[in-house]
Amino acid sequence: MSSRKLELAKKRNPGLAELFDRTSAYIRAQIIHNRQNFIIPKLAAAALDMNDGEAFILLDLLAQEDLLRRVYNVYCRKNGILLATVDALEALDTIPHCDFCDKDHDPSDLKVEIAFVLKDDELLTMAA
Amino acid sequence: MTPKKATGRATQKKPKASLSIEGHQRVMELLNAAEKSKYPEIRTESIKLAKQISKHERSQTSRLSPTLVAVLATLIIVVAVGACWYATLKYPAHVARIIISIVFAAVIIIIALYALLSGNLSESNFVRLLSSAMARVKSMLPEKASAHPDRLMAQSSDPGTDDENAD
Repeated sequence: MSSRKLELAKKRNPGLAELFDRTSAYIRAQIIHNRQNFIIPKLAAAALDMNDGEAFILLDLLAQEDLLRRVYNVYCRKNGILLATVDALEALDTIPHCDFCDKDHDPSDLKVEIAFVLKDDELLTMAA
Repeated sequence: MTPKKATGRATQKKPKASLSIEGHQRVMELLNAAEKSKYPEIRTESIKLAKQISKHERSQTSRLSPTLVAVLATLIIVVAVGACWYATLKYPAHVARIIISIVFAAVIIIIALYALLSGNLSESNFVRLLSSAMARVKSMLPEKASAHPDRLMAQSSDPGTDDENAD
């Protein structure tokens, strides 16, 4: 069984059909087998042998089809701990207090990472 | 937008501003990398996304609300129509035409300025509009009149109109 939304994305971008298949397989593997909540464009790029930008655009195209959702992860640079996950860039300006370091970090002490989370289970229900 | 979802042991505190800029830079870096792709669809999508982000940024940093812009623009158009009507009634046809073209250009410039301040128009498009409006005014003005606008008013053949001009 194939995802209707994925097929729609492939139909809209026929030149990327093969890349979409590889990307969706990677997403399934990450979420089902590796139990990852976040799909990171950088890691996807390395796994799929493409550049970071290509992976980001492919994931974003899947987000446009409502299969994924783009989020921004905020990490404490010192401890590498995930402090918050926000949906919008503007929301990054509300920096959370870090209870691990017990202080309000300067933005320079924090790291932003772009990630994608699963929005629709269609990708997971596809036969592997 | 969905409210912030905190993970780990984090609690929300006072706002600071520049992590959003870092996030914006991260996205732009990825888009720049995507523009080097060998796939034309990815390149096209990255350009489209960059334009969307730029438009969104402009609307976020806008100084005027869209409602205020709409109200002001409507007022200006009403005033401009009134001015044109007055010009056609009170001045000879050739002077009225020049006044109307100046009013028209002024309306375009002011509305473009409002659009710029509300984030609906980019700076490059504003400059383009400004130069085309100025070119239109220059083309409408006679050479001598553009050099000496007072002389144009003196050229009016209607003596009654001349009196009004002197006022």
